[in-house]
Amino acid sequence: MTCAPAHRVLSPSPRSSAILGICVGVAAAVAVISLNGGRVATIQAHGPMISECDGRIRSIVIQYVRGADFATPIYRQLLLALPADVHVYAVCPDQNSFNELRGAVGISAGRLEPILTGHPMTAWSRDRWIALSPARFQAPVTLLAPSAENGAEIWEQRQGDERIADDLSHALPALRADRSGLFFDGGDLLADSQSVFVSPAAIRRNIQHTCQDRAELARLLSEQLQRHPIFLSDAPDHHVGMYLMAAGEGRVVVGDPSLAKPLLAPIELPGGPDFSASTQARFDSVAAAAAAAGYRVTRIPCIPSSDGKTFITYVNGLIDQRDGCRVIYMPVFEGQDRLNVAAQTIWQNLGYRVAPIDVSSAFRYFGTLHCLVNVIKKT
Amino acid sequence: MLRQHFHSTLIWAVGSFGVSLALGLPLTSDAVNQPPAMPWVQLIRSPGLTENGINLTVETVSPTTRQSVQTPGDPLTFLVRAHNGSNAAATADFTLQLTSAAASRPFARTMPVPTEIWADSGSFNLNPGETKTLHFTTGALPPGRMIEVNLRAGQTQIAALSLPSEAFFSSTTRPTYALP
Repeated sequence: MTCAPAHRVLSPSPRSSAILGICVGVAAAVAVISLNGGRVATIQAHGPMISECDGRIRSIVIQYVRGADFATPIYRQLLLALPADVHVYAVCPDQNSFNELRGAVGISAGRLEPILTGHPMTAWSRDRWIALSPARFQAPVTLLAPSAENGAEIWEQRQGDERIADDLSHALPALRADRSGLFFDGGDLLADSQSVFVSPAAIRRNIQHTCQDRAELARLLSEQLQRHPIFLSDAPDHHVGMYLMAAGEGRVVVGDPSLAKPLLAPIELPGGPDFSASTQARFDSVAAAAAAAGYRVTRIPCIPSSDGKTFITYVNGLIDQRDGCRVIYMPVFEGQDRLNVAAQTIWQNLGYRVAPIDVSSAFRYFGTLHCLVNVIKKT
Repeated sequence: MLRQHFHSTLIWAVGSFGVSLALGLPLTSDAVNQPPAMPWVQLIRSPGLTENGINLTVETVSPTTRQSVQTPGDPLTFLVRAHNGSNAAATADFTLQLTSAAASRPFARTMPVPTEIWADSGSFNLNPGETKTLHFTTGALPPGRMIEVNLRAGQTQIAALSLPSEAFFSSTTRPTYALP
């Protein structure tokens, strides 16, 4: 056996040069792409559902259609109260609707940035989509729309509502829209920085329709919203924001009819106020579920009506956190001074500044401030 | 020789780097603007529940899709199918409830609370592996409403069917909106 000369062992062939060069080049390119953040974005395209009670509100969306007079007093008050740096997008079906809204809100009309859809829609923004925070700096916010709107088959405006998330993403490059595949109204889900509270309707509409059971629904919600789901199975059959609001730092505020009963001034409600034991138990079940999940629960007066949908509620507000303080734009009701003051005191005792918004014109339509306004972005 | 090898390797490296960036960077950068990868959600066509080892499902007789449209004034006909997947004979009692809700207030935020318009009940006694069906026919459906069939057995209740009770709104009632 003869050994090859040393210089032949060390001598590189043209082929080995090519292989080595390709390896070095590809490795360098992968390193550059990784530094650019592209791989991170591929793995995680959106962040968690934005919290109700944390962060500074940067932009909101309201909807308006001609004749929805009940909403304009609320928009007028809110636009005056909101800090000037909050962008306000007004989604309307046409220019006439936008003109009517602009005329109704008065001196704040200049804040409104119109987005015209060209199709029927309702005046309720909250339920159309939920906002998922960007996965990284300067990435777009994701508007996650449900698989379908409840009742769209018989309700033309509600069918148009199914398109609002897409309308917004087409109008605003900083947004993108996606469909969850799950059935929900935006108001069926309410998040803080840890959890998302889930209404009975969202449970009922999905189990055995989009998922086998509650465990699978929990997994889907966790993956999509990146929050821990807390099921409010025995809650009132309404959107979460009508009876619960996250207050931050592990606290929630939950409605309590028994606190409201002695304070209620005479008022005409559909079927009268519902102070029944069974309804009280539904509210109590919400408090119990939150407490079982480790939340500190504060109760606040709340009056459900016998129609099950008309609520005098003080949790259906908007929370803004800036400069170390939290402010709640809290619903108040004409002629209910004792209830209004009691609710305001409760929020103040939680460290909140309270900005009252009179929602008397709207609450008989089954929602108030939180239901009319959706938040795109918080920082 | 080594210098020649170094130059050759450098040329290949620069070339590969350029090609890789040209191909890879746009792909990964564009990923930011792609829809997020939501977990796949698949509709269940025959919702059901299990009671005493018997699987109960509800199906409309005709048509059979979830988004079926029912003609107002006609009854709704559907069946409950029961299959005993256990190794022992079993009995399952169940109740059915038909509810309806109308979008009677166009400016309202939500549909009102549904009201019950029909109810019935039934029972299956099945041997292991046996399957049986029971047909149900409701009263006439009211027009312009969302109809829901709820199935309850034991402590479990599901919204088994959800469908509108009339043809979709006619084009003559649809308002038109002109964009600038």
